[in-house]
Amino acid sequence: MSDARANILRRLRAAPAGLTQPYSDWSVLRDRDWSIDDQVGLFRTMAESVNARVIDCVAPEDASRPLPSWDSVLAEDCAARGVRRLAVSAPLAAPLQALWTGSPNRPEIILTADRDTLFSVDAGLTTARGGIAETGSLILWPGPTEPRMLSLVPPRHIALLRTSRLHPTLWHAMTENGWASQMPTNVVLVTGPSKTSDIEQTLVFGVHGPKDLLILLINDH
Amino acid sequence: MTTGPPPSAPVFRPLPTGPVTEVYLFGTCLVDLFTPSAGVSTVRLLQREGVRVIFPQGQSCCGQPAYNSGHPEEARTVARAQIPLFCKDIPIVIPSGSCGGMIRQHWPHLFAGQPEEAAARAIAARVWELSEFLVHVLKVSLEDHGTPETVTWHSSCHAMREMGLTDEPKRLLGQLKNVTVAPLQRERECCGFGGTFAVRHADVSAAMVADKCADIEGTGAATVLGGDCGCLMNISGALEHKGSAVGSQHLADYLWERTK
Amino acid sequence: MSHSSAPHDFRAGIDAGLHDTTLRANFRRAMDGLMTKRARQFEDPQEWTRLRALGQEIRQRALSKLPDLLERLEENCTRNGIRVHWAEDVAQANAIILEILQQRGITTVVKGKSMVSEEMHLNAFLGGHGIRALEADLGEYIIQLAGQMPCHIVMPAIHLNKTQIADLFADKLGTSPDGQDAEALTAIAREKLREEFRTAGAGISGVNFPVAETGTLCLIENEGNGRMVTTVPPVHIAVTGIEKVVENLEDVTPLLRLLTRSATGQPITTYVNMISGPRRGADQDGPQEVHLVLIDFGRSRVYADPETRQTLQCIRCAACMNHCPVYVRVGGHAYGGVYPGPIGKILTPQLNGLADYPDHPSASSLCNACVEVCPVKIPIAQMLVRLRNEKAGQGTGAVQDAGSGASRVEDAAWKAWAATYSTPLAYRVASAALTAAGNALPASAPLLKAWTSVRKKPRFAAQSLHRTLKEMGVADE
Ligand code: SF4
Repeated sequence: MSDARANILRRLRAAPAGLTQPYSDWSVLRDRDWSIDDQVGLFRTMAESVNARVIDCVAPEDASRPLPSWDSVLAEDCAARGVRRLAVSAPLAAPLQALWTGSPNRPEIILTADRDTLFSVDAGLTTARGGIAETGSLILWPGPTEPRMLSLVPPRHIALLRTSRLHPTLWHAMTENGWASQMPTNVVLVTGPSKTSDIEQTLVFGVHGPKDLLILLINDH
Repeated sequence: MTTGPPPSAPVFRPLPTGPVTEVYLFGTCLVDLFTPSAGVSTVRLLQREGVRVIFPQGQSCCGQPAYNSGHPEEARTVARAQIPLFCKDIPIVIPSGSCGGMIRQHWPHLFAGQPEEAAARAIAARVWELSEFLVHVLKVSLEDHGTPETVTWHSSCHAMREMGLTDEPKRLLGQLKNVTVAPLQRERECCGFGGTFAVRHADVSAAMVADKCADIEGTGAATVLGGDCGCLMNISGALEHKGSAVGSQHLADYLWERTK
Repeated sequence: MSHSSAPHDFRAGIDAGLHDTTLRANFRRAMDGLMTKRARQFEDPQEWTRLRALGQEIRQRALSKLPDLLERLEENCTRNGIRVHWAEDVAQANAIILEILQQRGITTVVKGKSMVSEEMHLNAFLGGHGIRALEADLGEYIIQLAGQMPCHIVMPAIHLNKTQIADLFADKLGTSPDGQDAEALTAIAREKLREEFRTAGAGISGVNFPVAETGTLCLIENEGNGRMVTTVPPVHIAVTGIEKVVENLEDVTPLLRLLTRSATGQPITTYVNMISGPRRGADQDGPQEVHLVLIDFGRSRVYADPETRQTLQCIRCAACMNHCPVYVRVGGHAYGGVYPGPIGKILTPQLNGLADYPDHPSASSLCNACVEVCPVKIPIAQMLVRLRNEKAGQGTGAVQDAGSGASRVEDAAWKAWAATYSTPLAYRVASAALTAAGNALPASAPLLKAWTSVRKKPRFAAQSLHRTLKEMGVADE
């Protein structure tokens, strides 16, 4: 096995120099002069084009805009879609519990990383670390407070995204936030619900991942 | 289904500086033996624009048949024999995108590291496909004397993808007021010629040319036009074999006949 | 790499593909759809030109430093807790994976899409050792049930229609064959596989972009099977070719854009996984172990020649096959091997030898449709010509089995051709003879026969262009 490593590297090192490109022009990715409003609009268009649902809302304490609070949008959507058991990421559990206490017909809030429980809940609620306007993608950054499976195995995924966390492109998100020096064990970009077109190129949503993706777009920019 | 225009930006070619009064004609081996009329029409179209045409009698072939068949040595032998015949610094006009592509794209590669490399590169830079030359360099304007007719156009792969032609032939046809061009459904798809491919993989090639013929017949055109004798030989051979009424012609012949 | 088996018979596969009208119709429709979707993504020629230049540069830059980047990748993966293994050939790679699984008593693995694992015939190998390997990508799952090879690298089951799939499911899974549409068939597969994800001992995946700078494995997919196999089971094993590594994390961004837009006409796939190790610290889930198996399988030989090295720039988008007039007519299975279409034509004979795949280099009209769309600008046609040279013994000998297709008869014919066409006098004599008497050649003459099966015999003109122009007084200088 160690021979394999040495042999491969030896063969590669023995090869003559080939084509190389010392310099690249990155402007095709870099140059984006979109205002935050442009980015919000583009994000929505792109996310909706792949069947994500995007609903504008605000934080519960924010009364500056005529938009509903995210927790009430969430409660309504859960009621409308029959979500009874909602698994949530840790930082959201306590606030949601507090907001919903005393209100009738709220789904059960479940705080767990247990695999089998997550396979059985109706929906998973996560935060998004950011969003990518150009493709309508969520940047998920699971870790100690948010299991990876929370956004993956329940049939519905609901994500909270702040408009102030939008980036024009993945390249901007990555370079402006210095990802390269702090990659967690898992970063996942999510663009719409799970889908396939493996059968006759017919688009079908909900293969192995969630069939439904709801983005609660918290307007805070 | 049409696959749309090429996604790459058109190749930009610097035009010759100053007026062009003299050109070489590289006739190509297929035109020489099978469709000499296309060569003659090329000469007439050029002469009508006041251009003096030189046809070095020592010429034969660009070397492509051997080059594409795994025999670069023989390709080089033949290509090398052409080099001294085209040494004046004037444009070389070719009634074929494929032979043009061979010289433009592949001669520099074929002669890399050889004594003739510089000469081969110089020639490559002076090569023009006929329609490209008529449109961009001579900027011809054509007067149609023919009767109303519908034709269709087959664009050769090498003209498009090696010479970087876009719509030059169709711009010329567009100048003929009595001619309607009915586009093919799959104008950009190969006709299945590919030199020895047509005999080595005869059944695949046959399926390709059968589809091409069906596409051509579906346009309702009386004639299919092309700029490459290889494609035309393949397509017309297949059309004739199936007893089709659609005729075929090289663009040079068609342009000359309608405008002379 | 052994020559024990007979060479792959491209023509036999072609026959099957060409004469199956259902297959041809399925393919045509599918490829038309993919071409249209891709074209919509690259409507701005400026952007396309600049983006693909960037993609090509990134791949060439990475290849130019390949051994260093592999060491850096290993170092950073190791720091992240990923265990890195190296394999020169299929046997070594399979043994590495078997050992990992056996040591942990694992008997079921779920797999994401991986072309490298197809090169390894991994499923059959593990099956032979009592380990069940289940494909989880829907297309691969269907193919596995059917006992076939993928016929397209992005859409493995594109040659089957829903009726065929419903019958297959009925036969293998006992579901009803009637009234099943794509949605219902997908739901059947979802149910079957969900339980497998939950209980499998290990997940096996490929990698689209291993990043040297951060020790990150990027994996893209639409279904969520990739997330499942790399998240749920306690062990994740990733396999990838040594050529795939890129230098910096940011290099992923243009390649990702080019890949998804070229492959399926999507601006991005549903999921882009960036995996940088097993669960760490207070992480709540994720595999306890992540392994990376770096495989060579002939790639270092392809790398040894600067021209053929360009083959390794490939990011496996399949655009070349989607646009290929030969592929669309013969189907993926004609190509044998793992990689069909233009990339298969240049890669398979280089990895496995020209003797085993003698027809691959010639099965192209050199129409350049692939070259026009390749997002990393691999000169595929130039590579095909190079392989033809190698096969005929006129290359540098860098490719395995160079010279295996050399033929004295062909060599002699080309020599005679060259002698005639390079000597004006000889050419004049020959062309005079052909124009005078060439048409007397019977349509059944060797070469001509293949031509005349569907075409009229070409007719020599009565007089050559040379003579005609001389008579017209055109200058000969
Ligand atoms: S050769 Fe180019 S077009 Fe073909 S799969 Fe590879 S990257 Fe895509």
